[in-house]
Amino acid sequence: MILTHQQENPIGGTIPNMPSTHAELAKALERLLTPEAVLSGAAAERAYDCDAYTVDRSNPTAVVLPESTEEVAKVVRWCCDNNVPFTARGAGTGLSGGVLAALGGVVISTKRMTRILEIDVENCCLLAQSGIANKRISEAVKQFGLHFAPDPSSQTVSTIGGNIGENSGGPHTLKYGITVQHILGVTLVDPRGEILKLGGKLAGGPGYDFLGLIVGGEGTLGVVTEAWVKLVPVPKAVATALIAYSTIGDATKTVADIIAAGTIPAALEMMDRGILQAVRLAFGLQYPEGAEALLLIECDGEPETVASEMEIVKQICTRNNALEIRVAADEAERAKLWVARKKGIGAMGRIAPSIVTHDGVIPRSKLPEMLEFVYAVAKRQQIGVANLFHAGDGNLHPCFYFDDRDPDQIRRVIEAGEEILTRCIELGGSVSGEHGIGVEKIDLMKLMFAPEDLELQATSKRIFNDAMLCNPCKVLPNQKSCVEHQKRWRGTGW
Amino acid sequence: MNHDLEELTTHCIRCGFCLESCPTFVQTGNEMESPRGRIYLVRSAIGGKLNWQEDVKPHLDLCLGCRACETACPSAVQYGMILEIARDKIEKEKPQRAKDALLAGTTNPTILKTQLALGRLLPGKRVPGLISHLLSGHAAEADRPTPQQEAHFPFLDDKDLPAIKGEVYLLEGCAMKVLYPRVHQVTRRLLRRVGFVVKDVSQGCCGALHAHYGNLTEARKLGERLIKSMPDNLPVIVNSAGCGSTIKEYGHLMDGQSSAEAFAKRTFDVSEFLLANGLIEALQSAKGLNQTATYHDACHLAHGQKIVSQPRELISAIPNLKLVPLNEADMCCGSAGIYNVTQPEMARKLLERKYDNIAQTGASIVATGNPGCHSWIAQAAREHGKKIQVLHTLELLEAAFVGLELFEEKPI
Amino acid sequence: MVNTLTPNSIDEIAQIVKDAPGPVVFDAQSAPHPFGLPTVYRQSRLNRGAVTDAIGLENFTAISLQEYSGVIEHDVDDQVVVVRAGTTVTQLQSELAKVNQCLPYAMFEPRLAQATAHFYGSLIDEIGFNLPHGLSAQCGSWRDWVLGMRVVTADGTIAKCGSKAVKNVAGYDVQKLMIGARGTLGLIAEVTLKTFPLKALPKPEMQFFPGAEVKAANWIQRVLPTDFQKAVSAHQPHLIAVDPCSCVLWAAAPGNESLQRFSEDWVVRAGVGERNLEFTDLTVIKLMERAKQLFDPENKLNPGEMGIC
Repeated sequence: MILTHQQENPIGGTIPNMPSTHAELAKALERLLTPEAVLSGAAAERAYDCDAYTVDRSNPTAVVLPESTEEVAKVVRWCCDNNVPFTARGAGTGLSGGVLAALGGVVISTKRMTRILEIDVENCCLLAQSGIANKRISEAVKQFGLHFAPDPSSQTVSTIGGNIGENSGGPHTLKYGITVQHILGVTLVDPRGEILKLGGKLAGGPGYDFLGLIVGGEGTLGVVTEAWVKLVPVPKAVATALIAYSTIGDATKTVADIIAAGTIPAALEMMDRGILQAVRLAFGLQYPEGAEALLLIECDGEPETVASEMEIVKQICTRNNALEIRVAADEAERAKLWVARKKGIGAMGRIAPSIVTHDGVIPRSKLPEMLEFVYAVAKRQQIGVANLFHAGDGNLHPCFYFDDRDPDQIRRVIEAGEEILTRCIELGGSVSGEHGIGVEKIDLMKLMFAPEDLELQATSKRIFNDAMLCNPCKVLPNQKSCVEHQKRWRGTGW
Repeated sequence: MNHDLEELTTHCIRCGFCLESCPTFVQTGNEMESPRGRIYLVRSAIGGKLNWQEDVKPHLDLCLGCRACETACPSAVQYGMILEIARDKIEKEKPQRAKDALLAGTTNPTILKTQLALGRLLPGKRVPGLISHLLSGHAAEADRPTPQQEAHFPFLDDKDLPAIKGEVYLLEGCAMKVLYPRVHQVTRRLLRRVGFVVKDVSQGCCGALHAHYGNLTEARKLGERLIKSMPDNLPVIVNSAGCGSTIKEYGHLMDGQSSAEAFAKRTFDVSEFLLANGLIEALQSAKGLNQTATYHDACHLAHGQKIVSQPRELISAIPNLKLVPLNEADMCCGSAGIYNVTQPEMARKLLERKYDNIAQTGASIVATGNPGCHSWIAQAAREHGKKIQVLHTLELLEAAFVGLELFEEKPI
Repeated sequence: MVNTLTPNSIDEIAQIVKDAPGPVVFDAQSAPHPFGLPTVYRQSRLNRGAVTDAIGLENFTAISLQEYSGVIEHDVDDQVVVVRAGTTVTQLQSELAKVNQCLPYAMFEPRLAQATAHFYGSLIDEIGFNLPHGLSAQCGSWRDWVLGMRVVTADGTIAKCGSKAVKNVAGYDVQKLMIGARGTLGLIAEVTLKTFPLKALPKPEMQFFPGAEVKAANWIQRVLPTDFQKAVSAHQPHLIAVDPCSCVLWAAAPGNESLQRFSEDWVVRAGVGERNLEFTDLTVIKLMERAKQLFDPENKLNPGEMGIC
């Protein structure tokens, strides 16, 4: 059997002419591409068995590293002809197991597709291969005073293809919008191996918004190999403040007041004491004694607007009993604050061997109530929790930290996550604001959507994908032959 | 040293923030050639899920040990340590004779000198193919090293210099001593320019290369000997980034021995020492250089010792000199100790990438603080027609006082 | 013309769609949208044949949402409003203004608005047609404001897409497919929208040309910034207004005349029959046909409206 270690055929039935061993499959792929473009064997299967969501693991049969759209299409067509599942993967920084090779098969890594193909400065757009790291796009156009606005915390490494798959957000989405608002066009290798070009330099034309479906399609609608992205001017002025509070309530009240005041800061982020421990250790971020929560608020735009907005923000903070308001004095200090914020979750490894970061969304006004609930769940389940999140959007990131060598802890972490996300739904929110459903939250979809809602989503998926080969067992629950397999990968741990 | 390899690996939560900092990952796009991947493979081998020799070793072999991932890692995973311990473990399971021979040759000045002399009798200019083939299965990419000639510097007159403030030790090293005697000359001169003189002692190799390549036992032995050879409580000045980085970690290497910890604490890279002791002020009266220069971060300075700004501050203080930024300045050039012999293909790719970046700056001089980078980038400059002069940071600083002419490479 | 049904609950809408024996067309005001395809064309498209094959209008079921309007729920603090799709933009704006909020949809005085296809009609039409407006570059469009929807599908099922959360990536964004689909994939019955603080609303930078107030745009074109000045010069005599921020031009092209096209541009038109909406990209046409087939296998909802079967 080729597809998994369990010697079973996930598709069901016998498949004629299917390569019968892992080695044979790898050989066939090597003939299709080049030997250098194929990884196989125990180490490769292990190295690609999960992304940054480590609770569920499943080995691929082989990994390919194509260099062009045509090579991707070749691999996809080969997979279709041989009934082998395939899953596209970028940097593997996803937090919901979106690139898990759920039924084994071929992982198509885009990490050799990292070229910028065209920069159109005048029309403020850029065409790049999908394996390029988000940050490298901004670096490439910095000289023109432009940047790519969506900035997920993983932006130094996460790929544009991955960002498109997950419709990634980031701290600055409050003002600048999420990935979908910045993607003008894509080249997609569809699940049958056909190359489709959708959109281009100019977005928003008439017709069905397929681009809006592909962005956030979690790689289940095909493999995005190239993307036209929108570039926006780097703001002329930026002011960043770090505000400390002695209660979570004061901090969340500040958030609500700022939004109500009609001010839209570029970013409005919150960190609780749990995460502060880690960022103090990691980045020397200082904060006053007795601080229970910190807000990181950034205003950007024209210099005079920034100054007046920041003044309003400061007044609101003071009114809400801020312990300390520190405005970054220069670019270096500002950069330091952002490193602490963006790498905050990454720094949790200082505290425990493993983390699971959740991604629930709730109406902003329910933030204090929700946080209380998160603390209570963590306490009851006896696992550590730290919170760092996009307060302005009501997008929470409770980060559970634990030891993944202990199966019971894994179980409790999964349970705690489900409790929290269920509560998010009850409060009128969502189970995912930017990390995606992947395999992690697939069962929670049933809590958020009724069967007829899910059926409509399944119909949308079928426009592109009506088989079980392209990134199977993701996003929608109850897919044929996935439920059984889920038991195999769920909570694998060590 | 914390020898619990498993414990060290558990700090990695697989966020992946290290990926784009890793030269071998950027070059290959292969997760197994990334820090996260390697840590995962090591952890899996510890758990018995993978085989050390077949599954893990090839990927650790391709690691440069540049430790750029440590700079990128928010969780402070001690990757360098994981690498050294895992390599030591693999080496103990199945020693590699050719690598040992190469290490011994490179780190013993007498053998190295003899080899270099004998080498001149052999045809070709590359490292002898036999060693290269034994180690990597590939033909050599690295030229046989050519020792630098000592320069005839003008006499330093005490009356033009500040009063002597104190003595320091200077790590002469093994390869450094044979290959870069001129760097030692300028180190002494620059130390004198800020009021320090070198207390000369008989000394040996610091063990850095051994530690990096998985021979911790030998590294410890050499380290202990070095500590004994510099007993007084004086600063130890190091002008080779790789050595400095290892010595600063002697405490870990020698299981927290207090003498090792103390020695590590009084060890300084020469750039940090000169900056702290007023070289910028001294440079104000130097004649300066009408040149454009750029700076390449040696991995063991930038990532191993977190010394990034100091050399740049010093170079920027040279009158009339324009320091221009280098794209991917802190990405490894591929030299990495004996890496350009053990992994010639990857080393070559990284060298060409580095050279392209340097050429793009338009600078006529590139400065760096490590002998490995120095000779490897110099080789690229030669191959590309040598429009760019490669100098140790200290050579560039001394040239600000005495002129660049003394640093011309003369054919042997 | 057939009788137009005016349901006043979502269940009633669903029942009508379910029971309809033939095509269902829905225009909130029971009048075809100026930029839509003419009825005769809709008829012709039913059987994928020529106009002569058309079935009689008496077989059409027409629904208007004029009785299904008003705000269902408005969470002022969270700036989220749930509204029935028969509500007009004007009605909604005045509701929101009471608490100093708004949709960032450019509002002009009636004559200029009419001239530039800012119809301020019912949400079902506005979202269905998704025409450019004067603040698209600054504040986005329906795609950016619609957080969720309740739609009635071709078989009369009521389904929810999206949510009330201002940020949500759970599942496939079906609501995005519905925007600009002119009702061909489902009937938008309720919409959950993000609202904006009124004082954060920027001023449109649209420029109106002399005599704009007495004209009506039949040509809306968006071009690349590098072509914008060229397009302005080329269309000069026919221009009604332009928006330099989004590079959109509104023009009144005389007769059936086509104005100059530019690379990568797009155009929507009124008054030229089936050429109101033209797709040339075969990939797109194929995908659209496939989507229509999946969502509405019997070609029941607003047939022909997207110029595809």
